[in-house]
Parts: sequence; structure tokens; C-alpha cells
Amino acid sequence: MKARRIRLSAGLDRYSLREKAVEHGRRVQSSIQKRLPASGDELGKHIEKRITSSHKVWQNAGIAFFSQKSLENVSHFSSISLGILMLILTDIILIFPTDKKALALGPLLTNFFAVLAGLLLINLIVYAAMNFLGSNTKFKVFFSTANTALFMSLLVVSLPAALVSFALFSTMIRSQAAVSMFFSLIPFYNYLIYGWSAESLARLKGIRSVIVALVALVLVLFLNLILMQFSA
Amino acid sequence: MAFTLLQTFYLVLLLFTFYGCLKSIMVYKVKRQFKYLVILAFFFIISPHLWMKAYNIQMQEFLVTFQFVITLIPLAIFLFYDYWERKRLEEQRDKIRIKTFFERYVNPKIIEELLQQKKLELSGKRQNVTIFFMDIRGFTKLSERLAPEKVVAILNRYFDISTSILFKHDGTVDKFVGDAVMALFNAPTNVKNHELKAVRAAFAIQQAINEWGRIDVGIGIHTGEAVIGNIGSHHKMDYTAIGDAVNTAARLEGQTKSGEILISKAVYDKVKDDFPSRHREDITVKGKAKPITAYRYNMREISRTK
Repeated sequence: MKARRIRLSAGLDRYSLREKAVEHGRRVQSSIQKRLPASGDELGKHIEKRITSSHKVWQNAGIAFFSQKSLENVSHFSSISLGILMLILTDIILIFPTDKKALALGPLLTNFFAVLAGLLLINLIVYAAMNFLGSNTKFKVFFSTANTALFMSLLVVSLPAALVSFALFSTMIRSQAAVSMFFSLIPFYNYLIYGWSAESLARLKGIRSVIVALVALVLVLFLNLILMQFSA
Repeated sequence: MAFTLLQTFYLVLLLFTFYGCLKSIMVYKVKRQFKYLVILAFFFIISPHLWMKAYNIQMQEFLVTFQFVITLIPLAIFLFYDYWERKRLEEQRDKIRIKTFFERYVNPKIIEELLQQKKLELSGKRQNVTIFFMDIRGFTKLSERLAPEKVVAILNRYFDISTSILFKHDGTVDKFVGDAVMALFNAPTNVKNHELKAVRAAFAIQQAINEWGRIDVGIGIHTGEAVIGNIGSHHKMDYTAIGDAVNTAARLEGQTKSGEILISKAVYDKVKDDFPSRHREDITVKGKAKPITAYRYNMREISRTK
């Protein structure tokens, strides 16, 4: 086969072509270097960015068991969008009807918006109380973390506990008042989680931190009572 | 279920009681004080009453409702006790392990004090301490003359003698720097008559070293305020003293000859009844504008007093 001579375009000789090839090689190398993490730390950060918030929430499920460390971890990746997501998910769990009659779209939607508005209002009031008492916590951090704590406590503790309790004790308990009393343990747990998270996130000391917790507890209890009255 | 105003009030109180239980457990976990267990017990006792009031339930019905839970209480107590005991034993085992490992390096009193603390604090505290410096006289010549193995053997024996005597007199060996020993008295635990104990330790060491007869040492002692604490980085920290008093003690030691003990006036004022000396000197040391008044003892004097 006869070798063909490559014709170079005007102003481009073999020397300038070589230089261009070397330059191109350098660019490729630098672009690869930029894409590859230089150290283990950078690689860790690279991977960390790819882990979604939902993964991180699962990794810190200890928040549902009053783990201070998990609460701190969750507060580090807080965002308004995560807070809204957690609020909506909490709302969905809370409005889920236990009565067959209530399983209609109309009442469900009304309940959904009523609970959503109530929870949002509680968040705002508790945050205002925190600020009034001298807390410097950002709203984003409080909103996202407190709602995550509430949602995780509902998901990890309340739902399984309710199912087990219902299966075990519903036949044993005679009166309606006793049933209400027995099952009140479950929402009480959620109130405590919410109060504790608000108190911890306020990062206040002494009586002021206790006041934040009590305000949060009372508000969340009253929301529940109002909603019970409303649904009755 | 609709609640009356009074029931709602009891509900709020019940919620506060639960919060009280939670809070007392959390605080107890950190502080480990018995009073929080008492507070917990108080909240635990009143909560059933509030619960019954909030839900308008009689005691009998309450007990029937919670009969299953009540029967589980002894089991819960047993499991809790078992967990508690295991944790306590694990902590004890860890403490023993740490103690046996570090006892060769540090005064057992420091280990005890550090084991009491939850974590090591880097910050120091100002304290009146007696600082003890000791050095081998003519060590460079000795190390040139002898084989390195022999030098190490001599050093080990010398450190062994000095450490055991210092520990016996409630001293804390701060560090070994080459052939020098730095020790503290009255830190980390308070020691009565720390100046006297330091001087007694110095005499005992001089006597022991003299009886051994392989080396000669010089000792400098000063007492004063210094910053005491764990000083260093989070990766490496030493329990040590920092301050002018430390420098003065080191300078005094630098002025000693073979078999001598040089103590500052501050120390002498505290020990003059037990260790009188006629050798009063005003010594000018490096870094000090004014001369330091010091008292000198040597081994011949020690032999005479004995």
C-alpha cells in the first residue's frame, strides 16, 4: 500500500502541529486531574456530596430515640426543602384515618391542610419563642431538624408501637377511656421528641431552655386536642 | 374523646411530668448525681395519678389496663440492673487497664485524678507548686567514657531511684529531659507541706545516689505560682507546669555542683526548722535582673546532720 502524504492546511507545519498536540495532551491531563480527587479527604467529600439527604436522615435515625449526636448531625445538613418534605410526610402519617368512614378524599384533604397549617404555625411560634428567649439558631436549622425528629419518631417509634399495641392490647382493654389513655403514650412520645429537639436546637442554658421545651410541648399538645375536637 | 378544661389541665401537667422524667434521665446520664434519680422517681410516681385524672379513670381500671406492663416491671428492673452492672464493670476494667499501663510513667495519683475526669481538659489552672530539678553532674564525660549500653543501664537505675523516692514523697515526675528530672509537688493533688516534702525527697535522693556511688547529681528547688494542666495538642499533651517559678528552679539546679542541693529563699522559709543552712548566697541567674537568694546544702553537710 502506498503511503499518502498528509497535506497540512496553510500556516500549519509539522512543528506547530506537534506543539498543538503537546498542548492538547496537557489540557486532557489537567482536565482528568481536575475530575479525579487528589486525596482521600477530597474523595470522601466527593462521595458525601452524592449521598442524598434522605440517606443522611436514615443514618441518623437515632434522633427518634433522643440521640443528641444524631440531632447535631441532622442539624448540619438542614435545609428548608428538607424541612418542608419532613413536614408533609409527618402530615400524611398524622392524617391517616383509623376509621373507615373517614377514608374519603374530601375530609382527608381538609385534614391534610388543617394539620399542615397547624404544624407550620407551631414551628413559627416555637421559633419566635426561641428567638425571644435569646436563641441564635437559624430558622432553616430549626425547621428542618425539628420536623425531621418528629417524622422519624412517628415512623420509627409510633407506627410500630401503635401496631404492636393494637394487636396485643386492644382486646384486653375494656372501656373507651382506657383505650384512649393507653394509646395516648404514643403521641406523648412524639410531643416529647418535638419538645426535646426544640430545646436542644435553641442552644440556650438553664430555665430558658426548659421554657422553650415546655412551649413546644404545650403547643403540639393543643394542636392535637384541637384537631381531635375538629375531627369529632 | 373530648376533654374538659380540667382534664386538659391534667393532660398538660402529665406532659410536663413526662418531660421531667426525660430531662432527669438525660441530666443524670451526664452528671451521675443521685438527686436526679430522686427527681425521676418523683415524676414517675405522680404521672399515673395525673394520667388517671386526665382520662377520668379509676385506679382499678388503670391497673387492669396496665396489668401487662406492670407485670413486666420486675423484668425491666432486672434488665436495667444487669445493663448497669455490666457497664460499671466495663468501666472498672478499662480503668484498671489504663492504670496498670500508665503507672510506670506517672504518679498513681495523677492517674486517679484523670480517671475521675470525663475528658482531659487542655486549660490549666494557677497553683502554688514546688518545682524540683535534678541533673547528673559530668554526664557528658561519663557518656563519652562508657559504652552506650552501660550509660543506658546507669540512667535507668538513676531514674528508677529518683522516681521511687519522688513518688514516696508525694511528688509527681513531670518529665525526663536527657539526664535531667523535673518533678512537681502539690500538683495535681494538694500536698501538705509540699516544700518540706520536696526537700526531704532531695536529701533522700542524694543519699541513695551517694550510696550507689556511680554518679553525682545536683538538685535545685523553688516554690511559687505556676500554670498547671494538660498542656499540648489534642494528639499529644503532657501534664506539666509553666511559669517563672519553673525557670527559676531550673536555673537554681544549673548552679549546683556534685552532691549539692540549692533551694530558693521561698522554700527555705518553709523548711528552715528541719533543714537549717548557713550557706546563704545571692545568685545571679540568666534571665533575671535581680539576684536570687538561695541556700546551699552538700552531701558532707547531710552526713553531718545524720
